[in-house]
Amino acid sequence: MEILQSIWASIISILNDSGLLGLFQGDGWKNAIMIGIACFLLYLAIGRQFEPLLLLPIAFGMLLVNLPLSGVMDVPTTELVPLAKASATEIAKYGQVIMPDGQTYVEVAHSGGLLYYLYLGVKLGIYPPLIFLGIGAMSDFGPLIANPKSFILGAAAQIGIFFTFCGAILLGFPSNVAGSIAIIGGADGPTAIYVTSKLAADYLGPIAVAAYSYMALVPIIQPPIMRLLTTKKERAVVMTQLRTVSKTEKIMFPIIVTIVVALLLPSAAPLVGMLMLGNLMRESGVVKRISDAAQNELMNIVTIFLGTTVGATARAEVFLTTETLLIVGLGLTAFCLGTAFGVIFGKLMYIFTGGKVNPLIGSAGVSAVPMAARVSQKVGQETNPSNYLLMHALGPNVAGVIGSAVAAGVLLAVLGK
Amino acid sequence: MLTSLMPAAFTQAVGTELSDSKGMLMAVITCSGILIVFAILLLLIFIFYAYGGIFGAITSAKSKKLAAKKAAEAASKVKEEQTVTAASPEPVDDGTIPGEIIAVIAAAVAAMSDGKKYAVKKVSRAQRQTGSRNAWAAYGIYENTRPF
Repeated sequence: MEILQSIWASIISILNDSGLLGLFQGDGWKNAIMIGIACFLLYLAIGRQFEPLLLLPIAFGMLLVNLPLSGVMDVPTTELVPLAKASATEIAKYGQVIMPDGQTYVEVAHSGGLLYYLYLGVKLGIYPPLIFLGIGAMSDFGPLIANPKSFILGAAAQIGIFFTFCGAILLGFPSNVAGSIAIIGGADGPTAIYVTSKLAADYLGPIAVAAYSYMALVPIIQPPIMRLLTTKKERAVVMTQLRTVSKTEKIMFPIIVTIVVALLLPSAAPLVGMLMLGNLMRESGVVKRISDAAQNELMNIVTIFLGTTVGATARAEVFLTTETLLIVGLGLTAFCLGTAFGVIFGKLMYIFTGGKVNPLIGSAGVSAVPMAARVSQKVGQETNPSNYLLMHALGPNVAGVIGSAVAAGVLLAVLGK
Repeated sequence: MLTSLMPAAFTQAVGTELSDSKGMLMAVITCSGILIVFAILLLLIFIFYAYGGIFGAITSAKSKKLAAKKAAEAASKVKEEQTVTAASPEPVDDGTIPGEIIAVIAAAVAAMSDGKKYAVKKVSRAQRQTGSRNAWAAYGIYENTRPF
């Protein structure tokens, strides 16, 4: 009988220490909701293949952190244990401390959770520039060099960021948080994370999840806005072939952009600098091994760390608030405004060039490479199946990456003080 | 650097956020933000237009030189051939198309001829409309963009 009682007691003890009970105690229901959201995002990533490379690790990080007592994001702590209660090993390992009350303690250190340490790469602003390095190594700036006018569309699509900033201020967010929310309009996940980690690290979870969700939903959000703002005649415009860009021009491009942007806006240097370094490695052709590593191994490793740890910042107590709903709403507004301003400037270019520019390429000004350019191509082909806008849209698309990094630099320079 | 050049009202507005001058803060950040982003990207447009112009001029000068050199070489080659074999048949092209390309064209014609025998008598360059793609480029674009 005693054996049975001991077994029962140990089962009860295990259950009491398990995370399962945590779901039914206090605010445990919030964790249950977050687990549901994480599973839904996993479904979107796997079942619907919406930006799976990022959504999958983000969703799994969210799942892990919301499992009660998992401790994956626990901060490292120290505990003062009275000398009498400390074990010999602890005394030998941590040493003794005499406190002002005259008592002797042992300062026992508890290490943090795995994801906490990986998260330091986000907190210290290391991962986003590394992602930019990989993006640079994968990007071909040829269409932008061939048609520098595309820079205007890359700039126009950033206007939404600044209008959303106003909206966030009006809704009562402090200026640093408003800046972090507004940058979602750049449709550039790493930039949004970089700015938020510098300006409002507490809001990283909802802002990163909103930014990546909208990037994944580009093919759904953008086409209605593009159709609404353009006529059938404008959408059918076939653009002339781009000129051939020489290798020397491609090599000089990242060097010139880095010098110009970093001199004028030093706060944008980490993002633009790494983007251009990656591109220089690609175009120079002399460091093929490093370029391949930046495009593949490094990019994949950082994506795993970034995605998982960003997802792990979405704890129930931070995520399930009315503020998160406002952030999601404002993020959508920023994204739609960015798309709309890109198309409007595309229309202006259509008018000023006498109908030579298809306004649909303007929507690609919101980074999201190459998804936004593909959307321009797809919407263009709905009207004229023999129209190939992809190469023309890639110009504003990569200009958007530079534009959003510059906009981020402006926000950091102004609000980061 | 740019931020240090901003008017005093700018820094004042950021600093006076706590004193409820939200309107000022929004107006100043929005206007100066848009202005700076456009200024930097417009500067890049200017730089890359100038840059493209310079490179275009260098490249066209080089290609003109190269074309002239090739034409001269081809002309001298044809002359030599004519003097060596006075009884040889008429040249198939005007001398600007390499022999390998003519062989490829002849092979392509033979491959499509269903067993009949053809002789390539003349190969000439077709005049292309400015701005339009050649057949290979058009096919390449079609292949690359088909998934989208």
